Amino acid sequence: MVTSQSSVAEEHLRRIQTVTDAGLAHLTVEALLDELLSRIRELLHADTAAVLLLDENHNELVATAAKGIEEEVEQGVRLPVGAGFAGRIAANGQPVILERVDHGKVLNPLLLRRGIRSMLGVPLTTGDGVIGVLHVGTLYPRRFTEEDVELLQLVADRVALAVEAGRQHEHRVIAETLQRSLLPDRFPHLEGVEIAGHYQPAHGGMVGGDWYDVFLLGLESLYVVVGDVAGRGLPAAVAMARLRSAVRAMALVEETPGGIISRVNDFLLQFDQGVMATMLVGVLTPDGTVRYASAGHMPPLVVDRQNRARLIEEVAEPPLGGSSSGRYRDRTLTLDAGSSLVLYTDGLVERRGFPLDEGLEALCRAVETPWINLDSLCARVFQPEPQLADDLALLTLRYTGSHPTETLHATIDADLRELGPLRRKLGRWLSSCGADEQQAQDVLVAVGEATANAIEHAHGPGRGTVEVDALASGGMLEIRIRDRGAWREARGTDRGLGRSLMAALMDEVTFESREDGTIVTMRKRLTA
Amino acid sequence: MSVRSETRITRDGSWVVVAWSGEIDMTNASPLESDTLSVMLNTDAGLTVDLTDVGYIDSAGIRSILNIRRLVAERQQRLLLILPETSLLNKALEIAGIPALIPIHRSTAAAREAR
Repeated sequence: MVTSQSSVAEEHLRRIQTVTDAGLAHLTVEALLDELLSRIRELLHADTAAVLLLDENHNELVATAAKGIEEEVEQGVRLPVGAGFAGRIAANGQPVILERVDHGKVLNPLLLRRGIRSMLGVPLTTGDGVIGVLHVGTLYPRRFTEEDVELLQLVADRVALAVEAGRQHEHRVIAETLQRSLLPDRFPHLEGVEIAGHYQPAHGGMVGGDWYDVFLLGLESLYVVVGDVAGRGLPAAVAMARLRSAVRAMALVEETPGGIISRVNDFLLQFDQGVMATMLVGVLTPDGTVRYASAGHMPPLVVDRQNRARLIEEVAEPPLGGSSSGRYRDRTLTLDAGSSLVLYTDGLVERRGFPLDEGLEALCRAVETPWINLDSLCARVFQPEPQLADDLALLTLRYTGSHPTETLHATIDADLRELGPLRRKLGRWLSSCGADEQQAQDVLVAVGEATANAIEHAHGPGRGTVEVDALASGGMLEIRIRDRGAWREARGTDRGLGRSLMAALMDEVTFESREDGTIVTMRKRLTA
Repeated sequence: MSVRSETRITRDGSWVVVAWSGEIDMTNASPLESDTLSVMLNTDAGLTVDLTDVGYIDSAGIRSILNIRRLVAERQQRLLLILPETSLLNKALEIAGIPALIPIHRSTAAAREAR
């Protein structure tokens, strides 16, 4: 009899384990707890079972899941830690048995109204301490045994692990959503400035508190912000969101970046104590002047027209949230036409086991390679270690100055016979943009290869069009060839030559396969 | 035709000289290749392809040159190219590795001497 009872208990326990092991990945914390409580009730022959989770901010227990007393959850019952049955369990981290439920010991009116006579509760504990309480109750007087306590505690440990894992997953999803929603998805337009931003979570998708922001105030003041909140996960993402708003608000009233940073620091010290962050705020005007101030942030990098990188290192000022240091200083740098400003967070240059200086040097070397886009920049800096330990944010502004922008658009039928006329049209345009004969030839061959690919691969005979867009500005040439069709991989191996030509004749070639077609983007610097 | 190209064939004893001109791309590379090969006799010693007046060549044109080289070599015949140093085609041919495979001469006279 004893044997068969304990084997039934083992079977129940095994079923609970099955839920905690398999369910974590698929269920929300609430759904998982709901499932677990049903099984716990069976296991301990109880009439009610409930989980209350700790709300650390208010030091209260919140009814999160319940069986037999579902109202507890529906009404969102909150109980103070330290008082009452559940409150004592949470405060002391020890199991409590109530053989006779009465008003003195139980604060939750629902339990009394339900006519619950006996209760057993145990703490939910993880490495960080008590995170909640699990309790069962019976509608008849019952004497819970030591074995009951042990069994419930065993289950509670599994529940705690499940809750912790589920919460971490939820936090990660929320943090990532928050992060993505706050990064600008398009940039404001300021004549003569090209902007690109990149955010990359740490390895495993873990977001942190890195961000960038770009906004225009008035017609000609382009604000750029890059910052890094200490810590990671949801708390860092939330702090980042508040900081970002604070910067925008202060920018409306403060005249200078130093003023904005000083005020944001006051804001943190007043309303968000404990948050530490580094941040750089800059204002770019159409003449190429950047006024900026930095609260302990990584030094900005300027890449000149000849692709030489220069770190702008100044006397460091303290990070935000450290102390009320008074005013942050305004500094000025000037961008010549064709040069770029690179702003970034330490995730880009700090790698495990490498000194910071080496990371900065790697960044400088990476940006000195002719005209690269942000993705290839990140790939270059991180070649030895693709798995990021930290998240990173990167913002680049290319100042093209007052150069006029020349554009060309051509839509051609997907027919190889269109290649000749396209070459002549593009050739005339290239020479009007100042390309010399060899440069024009290089571009014509590369565009010819890409266009022929688009015609041959993306369309059946006699159907569809290919669009060619070219843009020249400040000595840079960018050409996009776009088709609207399903890309097929090249037939045979001889297509390799066309791609080799494109790659060798242009400074940069990227292929982007999309659902509605393929875009090939090629860039080349035309000035000597 | 939208692509302007021309082939001029001359015979000098057992040596064939083919001068291509204009633009060579996917639309005309194949016909140029077969026109060129069609004049070769089994008894010929070699072929010179003169690219002096070619203003444009793409990967299809380069592949045709490589095809011609293969077919000529199979018949134990020689292939020479004429391409002035100033030609805009040099870069693309270099990228394709042509100079390592086929002797390139800078003038008609130099190619004649190399026969």
